[in-house]
Amino acid sequence: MMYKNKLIALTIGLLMISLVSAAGVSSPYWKNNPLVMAKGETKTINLNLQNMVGNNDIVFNAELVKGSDITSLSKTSYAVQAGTSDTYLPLKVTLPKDIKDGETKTIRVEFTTSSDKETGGVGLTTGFVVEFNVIAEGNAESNVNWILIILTLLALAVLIIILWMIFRKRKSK
Amino acid sequence: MKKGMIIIFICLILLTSLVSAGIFDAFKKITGYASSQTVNVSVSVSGANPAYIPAVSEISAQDPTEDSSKVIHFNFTICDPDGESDIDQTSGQANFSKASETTRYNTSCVYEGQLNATCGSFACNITMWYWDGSGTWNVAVNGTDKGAQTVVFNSSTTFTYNELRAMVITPDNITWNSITPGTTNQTADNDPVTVNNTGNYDGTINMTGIDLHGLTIDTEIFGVDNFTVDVETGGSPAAECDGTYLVNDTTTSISNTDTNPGNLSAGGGAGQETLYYCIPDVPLLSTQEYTTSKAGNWTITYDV
Repeated sequence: MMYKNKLIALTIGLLMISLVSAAGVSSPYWKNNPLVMAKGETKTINLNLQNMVGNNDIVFNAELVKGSDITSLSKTSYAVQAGTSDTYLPLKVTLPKDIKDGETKTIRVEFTTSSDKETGGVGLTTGFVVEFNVIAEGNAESNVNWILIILTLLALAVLIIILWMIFRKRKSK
Repeated sequence: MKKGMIIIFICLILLTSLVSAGIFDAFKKITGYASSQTVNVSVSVSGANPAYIPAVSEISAQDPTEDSSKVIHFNFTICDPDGESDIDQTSGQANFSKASETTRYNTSCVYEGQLNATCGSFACNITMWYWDGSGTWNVAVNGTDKGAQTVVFNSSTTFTYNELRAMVITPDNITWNSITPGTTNQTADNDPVTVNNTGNYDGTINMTGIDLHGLTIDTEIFGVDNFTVDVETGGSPAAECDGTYLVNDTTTSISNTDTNPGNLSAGGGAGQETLYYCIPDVPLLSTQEYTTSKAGNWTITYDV
């Protein structure tokens, strides 16, 4: 091993091919803007993946770091073409029915980006974290159609009255 | 008799002062009416009732576009009890506002046409920018009518402008072309690395560093904990050499960073942060090239 007074070349300038790394992730919920959901409710949140700067297609690699008990990723790798902002990562969030009112869950998705370009030396890349709270509030609306139930009961009541009247008429004869 | 004569006399005086025609003028067709001529008369009948704006269309949550603008389209209904024709079709205006943010306007919303006997609709486009703050924005619209000419408002609507975490880093690698083991305060050759905030995130910057491996002997490691990052530079020793030390594979908050969301085209540092790198104490390692290509790039992220 050669140490002192020898050179360590951390990189070679010729390897510096690309100069820019760019990307973006937009989210409808963030630290100061929590998602409020009813207990038992399911909602789909779309995270918007963007690659508007530069000419390189990139791949967003997503990892669900927090919140796997209420959501999941359908896939973890998203290819986003250069100059586009219309790629979405859907997060289907479901709160359990037995969660307490006001209880908070946290979802955290971490993204790293990669492209097929080559960098030398200490390569730098962009990464993004989307983290937000999900707060339980109230119960999900029941799927029961109350109008239909009331109408059915009314119809039954009318039918019973008609039958009773017919029965009474026959009895009086 | 004398009294009657006085009354007749007074009447004659009054008639004389009111009528200038003589008795024979009747034959000259002087009638007392104005002379006849053709006159074009345009009469605009406007109602006295002010218009009102009963509805503004819902605006869904909007994703900003990285390093660009976003046109948000919506429309609103304006009605006038005096009839749709009394609505001033050039009067539609709208704006989006939020505390501490620049208000975005459209002062010439387009009249889309009649909805019914008393109502019409305006279509508005308002351009939002990538640095406009995330959160709830208020929507205010106004218009007027031809008759009462009272400007009427509706500011009952809001929409959410989403948080966009976006950045452009330049360059996307850093180099020390040749450094000697055992030396101190070696700054990078090609910094600063500029982090352009092409979104609206307002906060600080983190970095996750990973140990460098030798390109020839890849088992030999140049620990990332030998590197510092700082927003300052210059001086002796260089200011960046007392910056934040990186930790292998661990997200580290870089002190004093600020994403500073703003219009990058405006210059003056708006939307920009600069990072400088240093190796305060170069470790004793063998002579070869060290690179992140073996174990992975360093990642710049925004704090949560």
